[in-house]
Amino acid sequence: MASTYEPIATGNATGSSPTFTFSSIPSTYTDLVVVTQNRIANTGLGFIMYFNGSNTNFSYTRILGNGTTASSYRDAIQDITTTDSSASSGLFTTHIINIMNYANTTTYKTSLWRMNNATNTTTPTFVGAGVGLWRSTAAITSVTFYAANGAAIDAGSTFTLYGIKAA
Amino acid sequence: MSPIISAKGGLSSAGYGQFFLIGSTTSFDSIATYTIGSGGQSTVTFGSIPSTYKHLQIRALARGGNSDVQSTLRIQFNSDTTSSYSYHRLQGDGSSASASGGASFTYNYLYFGVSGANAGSNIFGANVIDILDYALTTKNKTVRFLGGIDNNGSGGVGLGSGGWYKTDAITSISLSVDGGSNFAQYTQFALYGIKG
Repeated sequence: MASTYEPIATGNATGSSPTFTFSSIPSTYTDLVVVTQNRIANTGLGFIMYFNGSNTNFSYTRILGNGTTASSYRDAIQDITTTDSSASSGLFTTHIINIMNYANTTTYKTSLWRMNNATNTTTPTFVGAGVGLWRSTAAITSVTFYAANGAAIDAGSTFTLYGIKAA
Repeated sequence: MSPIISAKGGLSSAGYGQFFLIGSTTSFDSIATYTIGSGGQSTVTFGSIPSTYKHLQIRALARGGNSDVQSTLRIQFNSDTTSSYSYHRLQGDGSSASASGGASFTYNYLYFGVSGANAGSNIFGANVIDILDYALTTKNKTVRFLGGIDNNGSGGVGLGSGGWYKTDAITSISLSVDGGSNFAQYTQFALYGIKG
């Protein structure tokens, strides 16, 4: 049987830009998976994922546990949630993001992700999951991560894109 | 993982960072895929699953016909309809988080895995389901899942685990919508094998 889980590209943030983008993504896979460790230089916790250069027609729902309580939230963006500048240096959030059936032109696009960080202080720390919706039938050809409020994605943040191809 | 070889499809990155091209892995194989046609289908079964992998993963986009926004995906192994399944899950609906579970069921229940007829057009639930050590005959089987549907103002996301209290190797997996409706057109289930 054919091997089907392939790394497509990987990159590192330099700490001077609010965005990181995978572009010209081939349409030859069924799903995409982004594995990333990241952190942003503001205190808003917002770390937005959008597609094809457009940040409109998105929504998401998440569940979070912070060591004390569990909560759920939704908004009309696709915030994957990350470590902000209030955390000790060197601490990052880990995400595994599944972008399902990204190249089809029939259905809207649904993404699923797990995220977690751990700090050596009480906040901000969390473990959780999210589901995002892009109300577009366009094939996804680029994936952009954007730090809310235009803050930088911290140096040390890493991003790897994988493609999974179904038989 | 293979050494650096080439980009796939001429991909590039932007974003003011460094960029590397990397090679391919050989430990994650596609076994079979089902895509539901225009008539819908009540059950999808992966049969004759080879025992040559360490773990299985099912990746799915699913929509059903129940009169709701989100429905629950049911999973059953080896056509076993006895009360040998349990589940526990943690879920969020956008305003609150909750947990639930139970035992002695005839299915594993994977919450939020299927969008319903009341969800917006073209919106499907997403699922990533891992079935660990599926071929071992020395222990009961454990499933973990991540599922969700966002309906632009409703829906939810959930994490869960499921138990099947049999030591049989899993050779078939059946998936259906709780409540009995059909899967809708374009629903897709893909089964993968992960080597150990």
